[in-house]
Amino acid sequence: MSHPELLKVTHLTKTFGSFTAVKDLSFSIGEGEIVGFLGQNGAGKSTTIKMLSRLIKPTSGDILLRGTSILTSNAESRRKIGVIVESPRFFPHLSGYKNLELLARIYQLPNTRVEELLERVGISHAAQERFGRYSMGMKQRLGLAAVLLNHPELIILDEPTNGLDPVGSKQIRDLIKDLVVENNVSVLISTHMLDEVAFLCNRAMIIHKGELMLEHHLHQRSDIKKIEDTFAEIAAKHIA
Amino acid sequence: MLTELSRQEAIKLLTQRYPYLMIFMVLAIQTGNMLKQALTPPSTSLDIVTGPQQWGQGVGWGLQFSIFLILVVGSMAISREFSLGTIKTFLVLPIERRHWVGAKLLALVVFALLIVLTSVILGLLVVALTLGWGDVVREGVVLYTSGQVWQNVLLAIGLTCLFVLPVCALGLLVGSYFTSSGAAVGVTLMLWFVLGPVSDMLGLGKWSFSTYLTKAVDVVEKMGKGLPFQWDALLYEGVPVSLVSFVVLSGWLVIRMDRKDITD
Repeated sequence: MSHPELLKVTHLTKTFGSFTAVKDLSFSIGEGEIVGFLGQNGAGKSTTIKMLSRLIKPTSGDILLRGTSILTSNAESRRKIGVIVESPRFFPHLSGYKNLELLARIYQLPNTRVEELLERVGISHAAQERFGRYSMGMKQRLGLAAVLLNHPELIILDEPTNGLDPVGSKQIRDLIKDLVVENNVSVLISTHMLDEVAFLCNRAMIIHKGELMLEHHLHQRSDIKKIEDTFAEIAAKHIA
Repeated sequence: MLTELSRQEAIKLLTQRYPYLMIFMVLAIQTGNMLKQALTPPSTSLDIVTGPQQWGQGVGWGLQFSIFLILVVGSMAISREFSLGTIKTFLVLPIERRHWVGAKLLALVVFALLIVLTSVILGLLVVALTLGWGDVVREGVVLYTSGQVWQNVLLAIGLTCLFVLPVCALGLLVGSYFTSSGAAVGVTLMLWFVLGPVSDMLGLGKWSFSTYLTKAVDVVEKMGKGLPFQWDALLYEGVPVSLVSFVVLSGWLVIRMDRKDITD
């Protein structure tokens, strides 16, 4: 099944001094696709995510959202992207509700949207609790509520189950899957966990030393096997 | 958008504990100092630390402590966002970084002006309650009438409010270089202490905004003692130097934040 193109990344490169973190990376994400972005620690996943979020400026290359460069156009062009970079970070002294309200004001959204999302991600009971007292799972849930605030077309999640126990990881994965269906969004998930990709994604990309090593659709079990083999091969090379 | 962002920044600033803790510390020190001075008996008949001449000194304390407070809060405003990681939450939103920085600066300036005025009012109140209002009198001679004193006190407050603009920009700028609030505050205060002496050593004192900030406070203090003072240097040199410093420092801050890769 082909998906109309939503995000297109072309020849993206980032160097820090003499070190090349991401090298000539090109890929695209279609409407409604859930793409897993796999790689070991230091492979260049986070740098790529940060470039897509405009936290880091690429050395070269371009990022197009529906054909418009988000690097050269104004901030409004990023209005339809929701991002969590690494773990969700909010003000610890403010409640979950207040933190979300701060973001809603920037999008000029009513408080009812905040209440609706807190209810949807299952933390409305803790809405008035300080963020600093939230468990890791609750923080992730609040992060998911934050990325969905402005009805994005694309959400980018950077290791969304990092630091969670197996039960917590499963709950968050289920929630992501449900939210994706309900909100009809495309997703790019950066992770180093194969089971996460197998559960959530319909396509996977593997990045190693800043370069795209493999891009593969996941239709059946044998596709996952191919990803596993490539991942294992990279790991073996890495150790050697 | 800038107005909304500034409102957000003001909320962020005012909902944290540290500004209140600092305000409390500053006001406690200020009140303590004022009371100590007011309750100290004169050692000689010529001692000017008696009577209603203390207006100026009360204001002086207020201004001096306010400047430190603003510098500390300013240096924490950005560095704290780095240390909490919230900078990543906000900079991924569809807002221009220069608007984000501008909103922070605007919120800090408003906060700074409120602090200066609060601190000055407290200084004046302490003096009024302990010493009363009146003319500046020395050995039975009225050196300045209370009207003249008021005029000058208000001028000093106005100038100080203007001079705190580059202080706000300096605090934010230094804070933008650190991901630890403690380090940012330490370096900002160290920089503040060396700025004046180093400028003087290099013969550039006239071009340093901190020089005029201190002078505004000095003038008010001198006024309380009935010593000669003049506003010329402050008005004709201090105002343009402070305005230019503000533009340069805030421009530097905006460009720095605009180009900065947020990696941590």
